[in-house]
Amino acid sequence: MASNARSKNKVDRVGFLTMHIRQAKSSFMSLWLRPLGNILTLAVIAMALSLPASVYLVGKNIAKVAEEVASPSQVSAYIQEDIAEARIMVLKDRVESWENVESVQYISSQQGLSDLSEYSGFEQAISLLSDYSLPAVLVIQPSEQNDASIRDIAIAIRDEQGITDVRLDEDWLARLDAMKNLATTVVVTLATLMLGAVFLIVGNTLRFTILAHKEEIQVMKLIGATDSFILRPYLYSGMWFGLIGAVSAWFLTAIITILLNGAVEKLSMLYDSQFHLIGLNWDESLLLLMLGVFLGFIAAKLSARKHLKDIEPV
Amino acid sequence: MIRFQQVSKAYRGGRQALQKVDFHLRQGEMAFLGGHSGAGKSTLLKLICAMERPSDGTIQFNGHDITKISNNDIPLLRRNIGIVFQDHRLLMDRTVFDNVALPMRIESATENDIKRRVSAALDKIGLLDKAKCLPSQLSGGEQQRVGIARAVVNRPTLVLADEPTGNLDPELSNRTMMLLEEFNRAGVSILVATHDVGLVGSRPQYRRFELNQGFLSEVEGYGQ
Repeated sequence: MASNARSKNKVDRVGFLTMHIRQAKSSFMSLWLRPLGNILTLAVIAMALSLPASVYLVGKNIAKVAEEVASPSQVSAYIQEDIAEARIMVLKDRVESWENVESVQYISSQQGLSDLSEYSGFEQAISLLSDYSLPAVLVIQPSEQNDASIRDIAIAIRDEQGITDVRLDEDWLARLDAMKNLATTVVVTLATLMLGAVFLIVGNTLRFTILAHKEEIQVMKLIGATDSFILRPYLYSGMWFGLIGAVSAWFLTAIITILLNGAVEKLSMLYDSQFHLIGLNWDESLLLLMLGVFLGFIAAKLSARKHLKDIEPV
Repeated sequence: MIRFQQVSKAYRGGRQALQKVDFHLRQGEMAFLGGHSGAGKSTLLKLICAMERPSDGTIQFNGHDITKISNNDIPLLRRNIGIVFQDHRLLMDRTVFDNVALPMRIESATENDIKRRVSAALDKIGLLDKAKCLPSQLSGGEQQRVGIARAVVNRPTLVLADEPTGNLDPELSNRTMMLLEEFNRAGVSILVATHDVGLVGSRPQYRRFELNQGFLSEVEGYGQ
């Protein structure tokens, strides 16, 4: 009896989750009420997101190339031509016993020649060289990767007998590092600009949507809708924009990678390398999607809340 | 139900819309609010649903002081009030069903509950067979009745009607008013702002207030 009376006056409420699912669905559906405009918006978002993603991939691939080329810092000590192999081995053992040395690799002049001949195009040049035209090398791997210990080794080895020259590859590494830094800065700047663009696009689109629904919002406010209730569909729209835009951006990036991979493989084949372009991995794809959703949500929240406040029933 | 105590409202620029208005509408009562346009009828209704705030005095709704109601509580107040507009204010891009369902969706009612209540409300106004129509496919009188259904669907304690018959011919006006009377018999308090003297004159059983240049008076001989 009591419950009967209650059910007469009280509304049966749905759960929090059900309500959100319902609103997310209806926001998704309402995107297709204005298909052309929304598809254009989504295309802009997708392109704006795929640009930083592509630039990021360029950076990632360059870093991979650099990693293959650059071994960690090491010291190369060139040995006089006329020194007997036995003495070199003694020297090698002694250097190896130094505290700050990890390992020493001996590359005889013969070995050096055969290494070189593995690179394509050099065979003919090598046949012109005499047998001993390449000096033997001790490649010293420092145990600690810092400039001071590398320099200590270089000074110590220079004092050894039979060493003609000492080379450090740290200069080249420093240059590579600087280049990597430059690339990172470019990627970050471009990404920030483009993400800013996504933010503005979503915000502006929702501003138009809200202004178009001004009357509806006034009526909703008059019949007792809370601001958060009115806001919610717009937040979901923003999130859908971000998500669909990010998914499209992912596909765009994948297509670009596949298209470029053919050209890159042809190029690397000419250099006799097995290099392949790498695309976005799972983590990065997920990050892209989350970034899209997050940007859409924040843009929607800021824009919609501001404009909803301005609309009061009259 | 609603109690106005010495309520004044001055708009910016100094125009005095209401001056020391006192009245009390009891639970389940129906009353008319008359007066020329510009006499303050709309202002009085806006004060009740917190679209405007009084410059002075206190307003009580169901024993709660709503004079200084916080913005967060305004939606909760409005859920207890059904509003019927002169221009009905239906959402033109939604079906009649969805329009009437709106107040229930706002309260996040279950679809079952919505279907049951909306169908009942549409049945009551005689438009159940037009549930799937868009408002633009209905006549003016029918649109107004849909507006009334939307105002009563979540069983508010009070219905405010602002010139509900303003755009209708006498025959339709009479039917609309009978619909409101029917809801009043079901226990809903109703306050109707109207300048249609004929309509009010033919219903002496309800109380009648008159606004004149911001001053409110109750007309003798009504509401006995």
